[in-house]
Amino acid sequence: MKKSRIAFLVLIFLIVFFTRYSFFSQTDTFSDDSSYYALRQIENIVDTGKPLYEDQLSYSGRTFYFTPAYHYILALFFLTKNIFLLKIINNLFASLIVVSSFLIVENITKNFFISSLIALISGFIPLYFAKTLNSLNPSSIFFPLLILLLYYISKLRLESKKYSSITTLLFFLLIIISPHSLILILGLLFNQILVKIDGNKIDKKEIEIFIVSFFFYVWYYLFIYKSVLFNHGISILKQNIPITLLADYFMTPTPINILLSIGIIPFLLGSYAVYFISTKEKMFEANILASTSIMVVLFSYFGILEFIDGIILIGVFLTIISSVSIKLIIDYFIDSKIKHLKSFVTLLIIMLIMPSVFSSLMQGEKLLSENLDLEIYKKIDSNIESGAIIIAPISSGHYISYFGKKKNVIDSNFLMFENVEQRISDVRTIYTTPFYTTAISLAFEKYGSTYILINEEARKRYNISNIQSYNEQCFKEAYKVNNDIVYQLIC
Amino acid sequence: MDKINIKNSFLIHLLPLLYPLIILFRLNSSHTKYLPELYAQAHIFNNIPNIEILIISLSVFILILNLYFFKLLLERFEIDNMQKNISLLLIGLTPVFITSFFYLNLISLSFLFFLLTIYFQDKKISYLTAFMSALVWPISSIFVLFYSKYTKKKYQLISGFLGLITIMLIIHKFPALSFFSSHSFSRFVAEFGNLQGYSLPILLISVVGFAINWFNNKKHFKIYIFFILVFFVSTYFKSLIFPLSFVISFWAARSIKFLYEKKWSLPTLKNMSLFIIFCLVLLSTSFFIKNLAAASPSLAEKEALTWMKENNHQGIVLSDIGNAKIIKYFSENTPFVDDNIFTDNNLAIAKTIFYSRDLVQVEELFSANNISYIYIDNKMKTGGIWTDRTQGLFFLLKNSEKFKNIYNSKEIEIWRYKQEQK
Repeated sequence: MKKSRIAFLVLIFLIVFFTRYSFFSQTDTFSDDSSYYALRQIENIVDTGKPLYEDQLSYSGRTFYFTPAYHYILALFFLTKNIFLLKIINNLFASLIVVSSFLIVENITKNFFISSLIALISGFIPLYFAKTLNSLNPSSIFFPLLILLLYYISKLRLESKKYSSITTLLFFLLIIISPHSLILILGLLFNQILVKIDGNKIDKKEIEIFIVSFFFYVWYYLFIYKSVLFNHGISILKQNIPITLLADYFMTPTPINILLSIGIIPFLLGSYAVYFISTKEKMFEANILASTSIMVVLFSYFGILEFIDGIILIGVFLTIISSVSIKLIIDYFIDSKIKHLKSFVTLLIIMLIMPSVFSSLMQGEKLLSENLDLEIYKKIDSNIESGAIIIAPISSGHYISYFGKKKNVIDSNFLMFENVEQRISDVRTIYTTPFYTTAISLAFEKYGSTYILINEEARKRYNISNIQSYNEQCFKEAYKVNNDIVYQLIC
Repeated sequence: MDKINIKNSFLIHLLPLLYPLIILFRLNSSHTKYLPELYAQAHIFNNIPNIEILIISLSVFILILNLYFFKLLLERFEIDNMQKNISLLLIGLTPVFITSFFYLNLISLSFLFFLLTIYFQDKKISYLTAFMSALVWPISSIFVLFYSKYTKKKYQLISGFLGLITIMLIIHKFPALSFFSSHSFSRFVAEFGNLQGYSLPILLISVVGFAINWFNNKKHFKIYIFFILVFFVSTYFKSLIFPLSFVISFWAARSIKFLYEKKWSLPTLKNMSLFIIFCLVLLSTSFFIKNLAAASPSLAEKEALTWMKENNHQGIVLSDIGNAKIIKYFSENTPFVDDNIFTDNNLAIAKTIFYSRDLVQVEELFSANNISYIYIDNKMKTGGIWTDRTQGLFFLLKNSEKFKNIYNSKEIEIWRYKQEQK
């Protein structure tokens, strides 16, 4: 690639990154509770060299089962304990989707202009932008890496010697970063099945990579989840998310939901491209994207993949495949020799980029406007004795553990924890029962808790203004920040 | 070719001699020496001294014979050394095969007769072995009957049928002689919590071998269809897992041989894939042995049940079906539910009792079925039956004077129900 083109690609990358920067630099906190769980893991790695598997605070003491690769990678940049640096690194990784998309689209279309356009759009896919902007989660590495790997797999067909090592290495990296890498492994297999059905020759290299990566995947996750699999069985695949909360995690996939999340224009162009590829043209790179998309749909349908992740992946794939339609449109206008080609192309760019960029910026604004008030958690450590257990809504659990360094009764990490449904129901009862004896017997006798937090989240989730069984004899205000109150049980 | 070939397979079929070492691991992890199945069998022959050691020795011997005749059959079918030895090694590492050393597994005995039927195919003794195979374990007859029909051996077919009819008549007349269980379970893989299940890695590896055989040898498609069907049935009837594990190990060995001999487009991946498969099987087996060493019953369970016996607490005991065998053996009491298919009705009653908070209904059921004790272990309290003290019978126990807690340790609770004097 020419230097000027590399410079242009770097420019697109920087545009995406600095747009992100303009948002995440406005706040020194993260936008969700699970980022603080990740932060605890990263801090523990920096302090001890190991992830926090045995945690005394979450659920008042439990064992975590997870793949720590993402946390180790970020820990390398957290040696100075600078959270802002962590945000920068996380967003740099997330912005790399621009490079991955560029490479694969250039491979498909051999057109620099279209590749750059798609690279820019992929940097502003609304849901992806929102999910990785101000949160610590493996998606920021997983999605760019997945697209990069698809690019290398497509290159493998042409020059296997040159690309086999890097492809294998990236595959192993993808597997250790997220269990969702199974989507790509099965996508590869599915692609070969389709090739065989179509009467074409199976690609040996792809099958070999499938075999190695599949067995590595099974070995690695059997190693990580051996105990959890033995105790929970196959149900682990649904991440033990309680039925009562399933709707929060796996939204109902309606066509409108999907359209709005992906963007109407990429959706239309992508759909037409899928139709075009499947009927008129053999295009390996696009076929593998389509096979992987089918796996994404299946995983989402069976509840193995979070709906949001599924939509992000479909969005990325459709955006990339839409490059085929864009090329067709541009070729058509070049062939028809219309006079206002430049005007048309400008209009096309605006139509393609603006909705995604606008929608992403809106998502960023929305995230920052929510502006979580974390003061109540920050004061827990100095106001409440060590060893205390605090009852709080699910989404406050990680904040209590991270800022307050106190034990919670429940948080959003449900994996490998028995009777989560019961805990959810008990916490709800504690907030909503009109009988203080019930609330106190559950909180104190069952969970050994002497503190209850009432905040906006609790009010919203349980539709209450205060603890329903509140009375002055049994509930003493331990401390208060704005409208958030921590009560101490004194009966 | 044969860099990894083990020329002499003599040592492989002696692999079961190593299994009793697991007993040492169990003793080191606060568990009883043996599994409930062995206690149940020892209970039947309790007047024979050292019956446990005798049973284990016999089991190991049967397993060795299983491997030996399996090897002879593979040799007869001209399976090459590499595939033969890997098949033997994989079957020797399969969870259901390892667990079978712990008790006299009639399925392994029946399958041995089945192997002998194939081995002595045209000799008259094969009529007897076909008969015995079906007689020892009725479900085995599906293998004998399929084999006889497929190879058009009518006398073995008739013998198999006769064996099946005989055992059905015996079981009908004497239900207590039924050794097989019909209870379903959702976990058919050892890694998902079933100690007598398939090995997940071996199962996954075998898929490649199955596909190769399917595409290369279509004339035997009836056999493949038969095994696919038996595989799906085995997810319900766990007793089918043992014989099917031999076939799965054979296909897994076929896969490994294929991966080893195949010319790879990306040669670096070849050794990598074989190494990963080796690690996978090793990890799976070591984890399985760890779980087997920590399987129920624990010393605490033994202590509680022995306490019942020593303090003369005799009667019908309500507990989880998985505790039936140890209740019989250690406390010498009668469990209300066990895995005998002829007492299935009791299962439904037990379920009603466990989940009911209606004291009148529970009392009626206790009286009608003459239940005197309730034995509760940790597993029952933590999701096995209840998740919370407020549920069903668990709630009633503490809130009704009819129930008295007579034993309470960290793991075990025993409650007595006061029967009304008639």
